[in-house]
Amino acid sequence: MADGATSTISLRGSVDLVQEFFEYAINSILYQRGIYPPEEFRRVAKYGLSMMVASDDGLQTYLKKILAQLKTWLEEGDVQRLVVVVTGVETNETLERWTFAVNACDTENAAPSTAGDIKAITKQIQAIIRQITASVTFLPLLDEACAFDLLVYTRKTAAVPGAWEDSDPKYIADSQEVKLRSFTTSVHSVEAAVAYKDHDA
Amino acid sequence: MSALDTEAPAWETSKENAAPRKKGRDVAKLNRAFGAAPDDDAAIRHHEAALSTEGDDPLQAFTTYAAYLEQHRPTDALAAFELRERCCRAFRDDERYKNDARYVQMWLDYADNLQDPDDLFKFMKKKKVGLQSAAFWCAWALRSEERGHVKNAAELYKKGLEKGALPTEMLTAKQAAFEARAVDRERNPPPPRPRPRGLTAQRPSRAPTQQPQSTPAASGTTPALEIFVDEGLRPVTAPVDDWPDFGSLRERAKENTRGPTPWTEAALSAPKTSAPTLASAAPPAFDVFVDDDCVAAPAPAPDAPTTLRD
Repeated sequence: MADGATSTISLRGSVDLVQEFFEYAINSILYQRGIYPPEEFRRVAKYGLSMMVASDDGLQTYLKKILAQLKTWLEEGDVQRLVVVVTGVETNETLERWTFAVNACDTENAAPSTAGDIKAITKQIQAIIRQITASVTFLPLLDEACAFDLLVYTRKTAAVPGAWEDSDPKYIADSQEVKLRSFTTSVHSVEAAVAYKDHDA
Repeated sequence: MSALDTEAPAWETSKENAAPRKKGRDVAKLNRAFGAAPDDDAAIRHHEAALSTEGDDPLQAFTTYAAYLEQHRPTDALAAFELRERCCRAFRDDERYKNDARYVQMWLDYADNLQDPDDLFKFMKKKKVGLQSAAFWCAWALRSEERGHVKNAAELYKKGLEKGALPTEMLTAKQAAFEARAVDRERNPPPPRPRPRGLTAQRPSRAPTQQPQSTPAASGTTPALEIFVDEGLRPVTAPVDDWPDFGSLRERAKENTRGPTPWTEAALSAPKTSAPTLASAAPPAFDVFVDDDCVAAPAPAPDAPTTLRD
Protein backbone atom coordinates (compact mmCIF):
# COMPACT_ATOMS: atom_id res chain seq x y z
CA MET A 1 0.00 0.00 0.00
CA ALA A 2 2.39 2.72 1.17
CA ASP A 3 5.74 2.34 -0.51
CA GLY A 4 9.16 3.60 0.53
CA ALA A 5 10.35 5.51 3.52
CA THR A 6 8.67 8.72 2.40
CA SER A 7 5.27 6.93 2.61
CA THR A 8 3.72 8.50 -0.45
CA ILE A 9 0.51 6.91 -1.53
CA SER A 10 0.24 5.27 -4.90
CA LEU A 11 -2.95 5.25 -6.96
CA ARG A 12 -3.67 1.67 -5.96
CA GLY A 13 -3.10 2.55 -2.29
CA SER A 14 -5.33 5.60 -2.52
CA VAL A 15 -8.11 3.60 -4.17
CA ASP A 16 -7.89 1.06 -1.35
CA LEU A 17 -8.07 3.80 1.26
CA VAL A 18 -11.08 5.46 -0.34
CA GLN A 19 -12.89 2.17 -0.83
CA GLU A 20 -12.27 1.18 2.78
CA PHE A 21 -13.49 4.57 3.94
CA PHE A 22 -16.69 4.15 1.95
CA GLU A 23 -17.26 0.72 3.45
CA TYR A 24 -16.96 2.00 7.01
CA ALA A 25 -18.83 5.24 6.32
CA ILE A 26 -21.82 3.39 4.85
CA ASN A 27 -21.88 0.98 7.79
CA SER A 28 -21.68 3.91 10.22
CA ILE A 29 -24.59 5.68 8.58
CA LEU A 30 -26.69 2.51 8.63
CA TYR A 31 -25.97 2.11 12.33
CA GLN A 32 -26.30 5.74 13.43
CA ARG A 33 -29.54 6.41 11.59
CA GLY A 34 -31.08 3.16 12.73
CA ILE A 35 -31.76 1.79 9.25
CA TYR A 36 -31.00 -1.61 10.74
CA PRO A 37 -31.46 -2.49 14.42
CA PRO A 38 -28.32 -2.19 16.54
CA GLU A 39 -28.28 -5.94 17.26
CA GLU A 40 -27.30 -6.57 13.66
CA PHE A 41 -23.96 -4.80 14.04
CA ARG A 42 -20.69 -5.85 15.58
CA ARG A 43 -17.75 -3.80 16.77
CA VAL A 44 -14.54 -3.55 14.81
CA ALA A 45 -11.51 -1.46 15.72
CA LYS A 46 -10.56 0.77 12.82
CA TYR A 47 -9.07 4.25 12.38
CA GLY A 48 -8.45 4.24 16.13
CA LEU A 49 -12.18 4.15 16.75
CA SER A 50 -14.63 1.42 17.59
CA MET A 51 -16.65 1.15 14.36
CA MET A 52 -19.93 -0.68 13.95
CA VAL A 53 -20.07 -3.01 10.96
CA ALA A 54 -23.14 -4.93 9.82
CA SER A 55 -23.04 -8.61 10.62
CA ASP A 56 -25.99 -9.61 8.44
CA ASP A 57 -24.78 -11.87 5.59
CA GLY A 58 -27.16 -10.60 2.93
CA LEU A 59 -26.26 -7.01 3.62
CA GLN A 60 -22.56 -7.81 3.66
CA THR A 61 -22.67 -9.54 0.26
CA TYR A 62 -24.63 -6.64 -1.20
CA LEU A 63 -22.15 -4.09 0.13
CA LYS A 64 -19.15 -6.15 -1.00
CA LYS A 65 -20.49 -6.28 -4.55
CA ILE A 66 -21.07 -2.54 -4.62
CA LEU A 67 -17.66 -1.77 -3.14
CA ALA A 68 -15.90 -4.05 -5.62
CA GLN A 69 -17.57 -2.19 -8.48
CA LEU A 70 -16.69 1.14 -6.85
CA LYS A 71 -13.07 0.06 -6.69
CA THR A 72 -13.00 -0.66 -10.44
CA TRP A 73 -14.52 2.71 -11.15
CA LEU A 74 -12.14 4.49 -8.79
CA GLU A 75 -9.17 2.93 -10.53
CA GLU A 76 -10.43 4.30 -13.82
CA GLY A 77 -11.13 7.66 -12.22
CA ASP A 78 -14.80 7.38 -13.15
CA VAL A 79 -16.41 8.05 -9.77
CA GLN A 80 -17.63 11.58 -9.14
CA ARG A 81 -19.94 11.05 -6.19
CA LEU A 82 -21.27 8.33 -3.93
CA VAL A 83 -24.67 9.08 -2.41
CA VAL A 84 -26.39 7.17 0.39
CA VAL A 85 -30.12 7.90 0.18
CA VAL A 86 -32.39 7.19 3.14
CA THR A 87 -36.06 6.83 2.21
CA GLY A 88 -39.10 6.13 4.33
CA VAL A 89 -40.58 2.74 3.56
CA GLU A 90 -44.24 3.75 3.84
CA THR A 91 -44.13 7.21 2.34
CA ASN A 92 -41.37 6.47 -0.20
CA GLU A 93 -40.07 9.94 0.50
CA THR A 94 -36.37 10.78 0.54
CA LEU A 95 -35.53 11.84 4.08
CA GLU A 96 -31.73 12.09 4.08
CA ARG A 97 -29.04 12.22 1.47
CA TRP A 98 -25.40 11.64 2.42
CA THR A 99 -23.05 12.76 -0.35
CA PHE A 100 -19.39 11.85 -0.71
CA ALA A 101 -17.80 13.76 -3.57
CA VAL A 102 -14.61 12.25 -4.99
CA ASN A 103 -12.16 14.55 -6.75
CA ALA A 104 -8.84 13.68 -8.31
CA CYS A 105 -6.10 15.65 -6.59
CA ASP A 106 -3.81 17.91 -8.55
CA THR A 107 -0.59 16.11 -7.66
CA GLU A 108 1.76 18.86 -8.87
CA ASN A 109 0.28 21.48 -6.60
CA ALA A 110 -0.03 19.24 -3.56
CA ALA A 111 2.21 20.54 -0.74
CA PRO A 112 4.76 17.97 0.43
CA SER A 113 3.37 17.91 3.96
CA THR A 114 0.01 16.70 2.73
CA ALA A 115 1.59 14.26 0.30
CA GLY A 116 -0.22 11.38 1.89
CA ASP A 117 1.06 10.56 5.33
CA ILE A 118 -1.00 7.56 6.43
CA LYS A 119 -1.36 8.85 9.95
CA ALA A 120 -2.64 12.23 8.78
CA ILE A 121 -5.18 10.56 6.51
CA THR A 122 -6.36 8.29 9.31
CA LYS A 123 -6.87 11.31 11.51
CA GLN A 124 -8.89 13.06 8.87
CA ILE A 125 -11.07 10.00 8.32
CA GLN A 126 -11.49 9.68 12.08
CA ALA A 127 -12.73 13.28 12.18
CA ILE A 128 -15.30 12.61 9.44
CA ILE A 129 -16.61 9.49 11.18
CA ARG A 130 -16.89 11.42 14.43
CA GLN A 131 -18.79 14.14 12.65
CA ILE A 132 -21.22 11.60 11.19
CA THR A 133 -21.91 10.44 14.73
CA ALA A 134 -22.23 14.02 15.98
CA SER A 135 -24.71 14.91 13.24
CA VAL A 136 -27.49 13.52 15.42
CA THR A 137 -27.46 17.02 16.96
CA PHE A 138 -29.30 18.50 14.03
CA LEU A 139 -30.74 15.63 12.04
CA PRO A 140 -34.48 15.09 12.44
CA LEU A 141 -35.72 11.96 14.14
CA LEU A 142 -36.43 9.14 11.69
CA ASP A 143 -39.84 8.18 12.94
CA GLU A 144 -40.68 5.50 10.43
CA ALA A 145 -38.97 2.39 9.09
CA CYS A 146 -36.39 3.43 6.52
CA ALA A 147 -34.55 1.82 3.65
CA PHE A 148 -31.29 2.92 2.05
CA ASP A 149 -30.13 3.19 -1.53
CA LEU A 150 -26.66 3.69 -2.97
CA LEU A 151 -26.29 6.00 -5.95
CA VAL A 152 -23.01 6.52 -7.77
CA TYR A 153 -22.42 9.44 -10.10
CA THR A 154 -19.99 8.33 -12.77
CA ARG A 155 -18.49 9.94 -15.83
CA LYS A 156 -20.43 9.35 -19.02
CA THR A 157 -17.63 7.21 -20.43
CA ALA A 158 -17.68 4.76 -17.53
CA ALA A 159 -18.43 1.12 -18.21
CA VAL A 160 -21.59 0.26 -16.27
CA PRO A 161 -22.39 -3.41 -15.67
CA GLY A 162 -25.93 -4.62 -16.27
CA ALA A 163 -26.77 -5.04 -12.60
CA TRP A 164 -26.69 -1.25 -12.21
CA GLU A 165 -29.54 0.81 -13.56
CA ASP A 166 -29.98 4.49 -14.19
CA SER A 167 -31.82 6.18 -11.37
CA ASP A 168 -33.28 9.57 -10.64
CA PRO A 169 -31.20 11.56 -8.16
CA LYS A 170 -33.83 11.25 -5.37
CA TYR A 171 -33.48 14.84 -4.25
CA ILE A 172 -35.20 16.01 -1.10
CA ALA A 173 -37.92 18.59 -1.37
CA ASP A 174 -37.28 21.43 1.15
CA SER A 175 -33.85 20.33 2.18
CA GLN A 176 -31.30 21.72 4.59
CA GLU A 177 -27.70 21.02 3.67
CA VAL A 178 -24.69 20.77 5.93
CA LYS A 179 -21.17 20.44 4.68
CA LEU A 180 -19.08 18.00 6.71
CA ARG A 181 -15.31 17.50 6.68
CA SER A 182 -13.20 16.08 3.92
CA PHE A 183 -10.06 14.01 3.71
CA THR A 184 -7.38 13.79 1.06
CA THR A 185 -4.82 11.29 0.02
CA SER A 186 -2.40 12.74 -2.46
CA VAL A 187 -4.38 11.16 -5.28
CA HIS A 188 -8.02 11.58 -4.26
CA SER A 189 -9.94 13.99 -2.08
CA VAL A 190 -13.29 13.03 -0.61
CA GLU A 191 -15.74 15.64 0.69
CA ALA A 192 -18.70 14.67 2.82
CA ALA A 193 -22.02 16.48 3.13
CA VAL A 194 -25.50 15.63 4.34
CA ALA A 195 -28.86 16.98 3.18
CA TYR A 196 -31.98 16.38 5.26
CA LYS A 197 -35.64 17.20 5.05
CA ASP A 198 -36.50 20.50 6.69
CA HIS A 199 -39.64 19.77 8.73
CA ASP A 200 -39.99 23.41 9.76
CA ALA A 201 -40.32 24.68 6.20
CA MET B 1 -5.73 21.20 2.04
CA SER B 2 -5.88 19.35 5.29
CA ALA B 3 -9.36 19.16 6.70
CA LEU B 4 -8.01 19.51 10.22
CA ASP B 5 -6.64 22.97 9.52
CA THR B 6 -10.15 24.38 9.89
CA GLU B 7 -11.66 24.68 13.34
CA ALA B 8 -14.48 22.30 14.17
CA PRO B 9 -17.80 24.08 13.59
CA ALA B 10 -19.62 25.32 16.69
CA TRP B 11 -22.33 22.71 16.42
CA GLU B 12 -19.78 19.92 16.61
CA THR B 13 -17.82 21.23 19.58
CA SER B 14 -21.04 21.82 21.55
CA LYS B 15 -22.94 18.78 20.33
CA GLU B 16 -23.75 17.56 23.85
CA ASN B 17 -25.39 20.85 24.73
CA ALA B 18 -28.20 20.84 22.20
CA ALA B 19 -31.42 19.34 23.49
CA PRO B 20 -32.73 16.76 21.01
CA ARG B 21 -35.53 17.94 18.79
CA LYS B 22 -37.74 15.63 16.74
CA LYS B 23 -37.88 17.89 13.70
CA GLY B 24 -34.15 18.37 13.60
CA ARG B 25 -32.37 21.70 13.82
CA ASP B 26 -31.14 24.42 11.54
CA VAL B 27 -27.34 24.31 11.62
CA ALA B 28 -26.94 28.05 11.01
CA LYS B 29 -29.09 28.82 14.05
CA LEU B 30 -27.17 26.25 16.11
CA ASN B 31 -23.84 27.83 15.19
CA ARG B 32 -25.18 31.23 16.12
CA ALA B 33 -26.52 29.96 19.44
CA PHE B 34 -23.21 28.33 20.35
CA GLY B 35 -21.10 31.12 18.97
CA ALA B 36 -20.36 34.38 20.75
CA ALA B 37 -22.93 35.13 23.46
CA PRO B 38 -26.17 35.50 21.56
CA ASP B 39 -27.68 38.90 22.08
CA ASP B 40 -31.32 38.09 21.70
CA ASP B 41 -32.76 39.67 24.84
CA ALA B 42 -34.69 42.07 22.67
CA ALA B 43 -36.28 39.19 20.76
CA ILE B 44 -37.16 37.43 24.01
CA ARG B 45 -38.78 40.58 25.42
CA HIS B 46 -40.72 41.03 22.21
CA HIS B 47 -42.02 37.49 22.39
CA GLU B 48 -42.91 37.77 26.06
CA ALA B 49 -44.82 40.96 25.42
CA ALA B 50 -46.85 39.31 22.69
CA LEU B 51 -48.12 36.61 25.04
CA SER B 52 -51.63 37.09 26.29
CA THR B 53 -54.89 35.21 26.54
CA GLU B 54 -56.94 37.89 24.76
CA GLY B 55 -57.33 38.63 21.12
CA ASP B 56 -58.17 36.82 17.95
CA ASP B 57 -55.61 34.06 18.09
CA PRO B 58 -53.47 34.31 21.21
CA LEU B 59 -52.23 30.75 20.71
CA GLN B 60 -50.09 31.82 17.76
CA ALA B 61 -47.88 34.01 19.94
CA PHE B 62 -47.22 31.04 22.22
CA THR B 63 -46.37 28.68 19.37
CA THR B 64 -43.94 31.12 17.72
CA TYR B 65 -42.28 31.84 21.05
CA ALA B 66 -41.90 28.13 21.82
CA ALA B 67 -40.41 27.48 18.36
CA TYR B 68 -38.05 30.43 18.83
CA LEU B 69 -36.86 29.16 22.22
CA GLU B 70 -36.29 25.68 20.87
CA GLN B 71 -34.21 26.80 17.93
CA HIS B 72 -32.28 29.67 19.50
CA ARG B 73 -31.80 28.35 23.02
CA PRO B 74 -30.84 24.74 22.36
CA THR B 75 -29.20 24.32 25.75
CA ASP B 76 -32.15 25.55 27.76
CA ALA B 77 -34.84 22.92 27.40
CA LEU B 78 -36.48 24.11 30.62
CA ALA B 79 -37.52 27.49 29.19
CA ALA B 80 -39.49 25.90 26.35
CA PHE B 81 -40.95 23.32 28.75
CA GLU B 82 -42.22 25.95 31.17
CA LEU B 83 -43.61 28.05 28.36
CA ARG B 84 -45.56 25.06 27.08
CA GLU B 85 -46.86 24.45 30.58
CA ARG B 86 -48.09 28.04 30.78
CA CYS B 87 -49.74 27.81 27.42
CA CYS B 88 -51.48 24.50 28.10
CA ARG B 89 -52.86 25.69 31.42
CA ALA B 90 -53.92 29.08 30.08
CA PHE B 91 -56.15 27.71 27.34
CA ARG B 92 -57.37 24.49 28.93
CA ASP B 93 -60.95 25.66 29.10
CA ASP B 94 -60.96 27.51 25.81
CA GLU B 95 -63.52 25.93 23.50
CA ARG B 96 -62.08 27.14 20.21
CA TYR B 97 -58.76 25.39 20.76
CA LYS B 98 -60.05 22.02 21.94
CA ASN B 99 -59.14 20.37 18.68
CA ASP B 100 -56.75 22.92 17.25
CA ALA B 101 -53.75 21.02 15.90
CA ARG B 102 -51.25 23.53 17.30
CA TYR B 103 -52.75 23.42 20.78
CA VAL B 104 -52.91 19.63 20.83
CA GLN B 105 -49.29 19.52 19.67
CA MET B 106 -48.39 21.87 22.54
CA TRP B 107 -49.88 19.38 25.02
CA LEU B 108 -48.17 16.43 23.34
CA ASP B 109 -44.78 18.16 23.36
CA TYR B 110 -45.31 18.90 27.04
CA ALA B 111 -46.21 15.26 27.69
CA ASP B 112 -43.05 14.17 25.89
CA ASN B 113 -40.97 15.72 28.65
CA LEU B 114 -42.89 14.13 31.52
CA GLN B 115 -41.87 10.86 33.10
CA ASP B 116 -45.40 9.70 33.73
CA PRO B 117 -47.80 11.34 31.29
CA ASP B 118 -50.69 9.00 32.03
CA ASP B 119 -52.40 11.52 34.30
CA LEU B 120 -51.88 14.24 31.74
CA PHE B 121 -53.54 12.24 28.98
CA LYS B 122 -56.46 11.44 31.26
CA PHE B 123 -56.78 15.14 32.04
CA MET B 124 -56.79 15.96 28.34
CA LYS B 125 -59.50 13.39 27.76
CA LYS B 126 -61.56 14.80 30.59
CA LYS B 127 -61.25 18.29 29.20
CA LYS B 128 -62.01 16.91 25.72
CA VAL B 129 -58.79 18.32 24.29
CA GLY B 130 -57.52 16.54 21.18
CA LEU B 131 -60.14 13.78 21.07
CA GLN B 132 -60.47 14.26 17.32
CA SER B 133 -56.73 14.24 16.83
CA ALA B 134 -55.03 10.98 15.85
CA ALA B 135 -51.74 12.32 17.21
CA PHE B 136 -53.22 12.41 20.72
CA TRP B 137 -54.42 8.79 20.66
CA CYS B 138 -51.19 7.56 19.08
CA ALA B 139 -49.05 9.37 21.63
CA TRP B 140 -51.07 8.00 24.57
CA ALA B 141 -51.01 4.46 23.16
CA LEU B 142 -47.27 4.65 22.53
CA ARG B 143 -46.47 5.81 26.05
CA SER B 144 -48.74 3.07 27.46
CA GLU B 145 -46.99 0.47 25.36
CA GLU B 146 -43.60 1.72 26.55
CA ARG B 147 -44.67 1.19 30.14
CA GLY B 148 -45.83 -2.33 29.33
CA HIS B 149 -49.60 -1.74 29.33
CA VAL B 150 -50.07 -3.42 25.98
CA LYS B 151 -53.79 -4.16 26.37
CA ASN B 152 -54.40 -0.56 27.29
CA ALA B 153 -52.53 0.59 24.19
CA ALA B 154 -54.64 -1.69 21.96
CA GLU B 155 -57.80 -0.24 23.53
CA LEU B 156 -56.61 3.30 22.91
CA TYR B 157 -56.01 2.71 19.22
CA LYS B 158 -59.51 1.23 18.90
CA LYS B 159 -60.99 4.15 20.77
CA GLY B 160 -59.23 6.64 18.55
CA LEU B 161 -60.67 4.97 15.47
CA GLU B 162 -64.13 4.90 17.04
CA LYS B 163 -64.01 8.61 17.77
CA GLY B 164 -63.11 9.22 14.15
CA ALA B 165 -59.86 10.93 14.97
CA LEU B 166 -58.05 12.46 12.02
CA PRO B 167 -55.89 11.76 10.11
CA THR B 168 -57.15 8.18 10.02
CA GLU B 169 -54.17 6.88 8.02
CA MET B 170 -51.88 7.87 10.88
CA LEU B 171 -53.96 5.86 13.36
CA THR B 172 -54.19 2.80 11.14
CA ALA B 173 -50.46 2.90 10.31
CA LYS B 174 -49.39 3.26 13.96
CA GLN B 175 -51.85 0.57 15.00
CA ALA B 176 -50.44 -1.82 12.40
CA ALA B 177 -46.88 -1.10 13.60
CA PHE B 178 -48.00 -1.64 17.21
CA GLU B 179 -49.59 -4.99 16.33
CA ALA B 180 -46.44 -6.04 14.46
CA ARG B 181 -44.40 -5.22 17.56
CA ALA B 182 -46.83 -7.21 19.74
CA VAL B 183 -46.53 -10.25 17.47
CA ASP B 184 -42.75 -9.84 17.52
CA ARG B 185 -42.76 -9.74 21.30
CA GLU B 186 -44.78 -12.96 21.44
CA ARG B 187 -42.49 -14.71 19.02
CA ASN B 188 -39.29 -13.54 20.70
CA PRO B 189 -40.18 -12.99 24.31
CA PRO B 190 -37.57 -10.87 26.06
CA PRO B 191 -35.32 -12.96 28.32
CA PRO B 192 -36.78 -13.24 31.82
CA ARG B 193 -35.14 -10.84 34.22
CA PRO B 194 -33.01 -12.68 36.78
CA ARG B 195 -34.96 -12.80 40.04
CA PRO B 196 -33.06 -11.38 42.97
CA ARG B 197 -31.72 -14.12 45.21
CA GLY B 198 -31.73 -14.08 48.95
CA LEU B 199 -35.04 -13.44 50.55
CA THR B 200 -37.23 -15.56 48.33
CA ALA B 201 -34.72 -18.34 47.80
CA GLN B 202 -34.75 -19.80 51.27
CA ARG B 203 -38.01 -19.54 52.97
CA PRO B 204 -37.59 -20.72 56.55
CA SER B 205 -40.07 -23.49 57.10
CA ARG B 206 -42.50 -22.62 59.76
CA ALA B 207 -45.45 -24.32 61.29
CA PRO B 208 -48.59 -22.75 59.92
CA THR B 209 -49.75 -19.96 62.15
CA GLN B 210 -52.58 -20.82 64.40
CA GLN B 211 -55.90 -19.91 62.96
CA PRO B 212 -57.97 -17.88 65.34
CA GLN B 213 -60.15 -20.34 67.12
CA SER B 214 -63.19 -18.12 67.41
CA THR B 215 -65.81 -18.83 64.81
CA PRO B 216 -68.35 -16.23 63.90
CA ALA B 217 -71.20 -16.22 66.37
CA ALA B 218 -73.97 -18.60 65.45
CA SER B 219 -76.42 -15.76 65.70
CA GLY B 220 -74.54 -14.62 62.64
CA THR B 221 -75.22 -11.33 61.04
CA THR B 222 -74.38 -8.66 63.59
CA PRO B 223 -70.93 -7.39 62.61
CA ALA B 224 -68.24 -6.87 65.19
CA LEU B 225 -68.09 -3.14 64.35
CA GLU B 226 -70.90 -0.72 64.73
CA ILE B 227 -71.44 1.40 61.68
CA PHE B 228 -72.26 5.02 62.31
CA VAL B 229 -74.96 6.53 60.10
CA ASP B 230 -75.25 10.27 59.90
CA GLU B 231 -78.99 11.07 59.92
CA GLY B 232 -78.81 14.63 58.75
CA LEU B 233 -76.76 14.24 55.58
CA ARG B 234 -77.73 16.14 52.46
CA PRO B 235 -77.62 14.10 49.26
CA VAL B 236 -74.19 14.52 47.65
CA THR B 237 -74.19 15.96 44.15
CA ALA B 238 -71.23 15.54 41.86
CA PRO B 239 -69.27 18.80 41.62
CA VAL B 240 -69.40 20.51 38.27
CA ASP B 241 -65.71 20.14 37.54
CA ASP B 242 -63.84 17.88 39.89
CA TRP B 243 -60.51 18.24 38.05
CA PRO B 244 -60.22 21.90 37.21
CA ASP B 245 -56.49 22.21 36.79
CA PHE B 246 -53.57 19.98 36.08
CA GLY B 247 -51.08 22.07 37.97
CA SER B 248 -47.52 22.80 37.00
CA LEU B 249 -44.70 20.31 37.34
CA ARG B 250 -43.19 22.31 40.19
CA GLU B 251 -46.42 22.08 42.20
CA ARG B 252 -46.87 18.39 41.54
CA ALA B 253 -43.31 17.44 42.35
CA LYS B 254 -42.65 19.72 45.32
CA GLU B 255 -42.72 16.97 47.93
CA ASN B 256 -40.34 14.85 45.95
CA THR B 257 -37.59 17.34 45.26
CA ARG B 258 -34.99 18.79 47.56
CA GLY B 259 -33.08 21.95 46.92
CA PRO B 260 -29.29 21.95 46.96
CA THR B 261 -27.69 22.03 50.42
CA PRO B 262 -24.09 22.13 51.61
CA TRP B 263 -22.39 18.78 51.29
CA THR B 264 -21.73 18.09 54.92
CA GLU B 265 -20.50 19.96 57.97
CA ALA B 266 -18.03 17.29 59.02
CA ALA B 267 -14.67 17.09 57.33
CA LEU B 268 -13.37 13.80 56.04
CA SER B 269 -10.29 12.70 57.97
CA ALA B 270 -7.35 11.51 55.91
CA PRO B 271 -6.76 7.77 56.08
CA LYS B 272 -3.77 6.63 58.09
CA THR B 273 -2.51 4.20 55.47
CA SER B 274 -1.03 5.66 52.31
CA ALA B 275 -2.99 5.28 49.12
CA PRO B 276 -1.72 2.61 46.74
CA THR B 277 0.65 4.02 44.18
CA LEU B 278 -0.17 3.92 40.52
CA ALA B 279 2.85 1.81 39.72
CA SER B 280 1.48 -1.10 41.70
CA ALA B 281 -1.86 -1.01 39.88
CA ALA B 282 -2.39 -3.81 37.36
CA PRO B 283 -2.25 -2.75 33.69
CA PRO B 284 -5.68 -2.47 32.06
CA ALA B 285 -7.02 -5.56 30.33
CA PHE B 286 -7.90 -3.69 27.13
CA ASP B 287 -5.93 -1.68 24.61
CA VAL B 288 -5.83 1.90 25.68
CA PHE B 289 -5.84 4.18 22.62
CA VAL B 290 -3.42 7.07 23.07
CA ASP B 291 -4.01 10.12 20.94
CA ASP B 292 -0.67 11.47 19.71
CA ASP B 293 -1.69 15.05 20.52
CA CYS B 294 -2.28 14.20 24.17
CA VAL B 295 1.09 12.57 24.67
CA ALA B 296 2.86 15.77 23.61
CA ALA B 297 1.01 18.20 25.91
CA PRO B 298 1.78 17.90 29.66
CA ALA B 299 -1.06 17.86 32.17
CA PRO B 300 -2.01 21.40 33.35
CA ALA B 301 -1.11 22.36 36.94
CA PRO B 302 -4.07 22.16 39.36
CA ASP B 303 -5.76 25.44 40.32
CA ALA B 304 -6.85 26.51 43.78
CA PRO B 305 -8.86 23.82 45.62
CA THR B 306 -12.54 23.86 44.71
CA THR B 307 -15.05 25.33 47.13
CA LEU B 308 -18.76 24.85 47.37
CA ARG B 309 -20.63 27.27 45.15
CA ASP B 310 -23.32 29.09 47.05
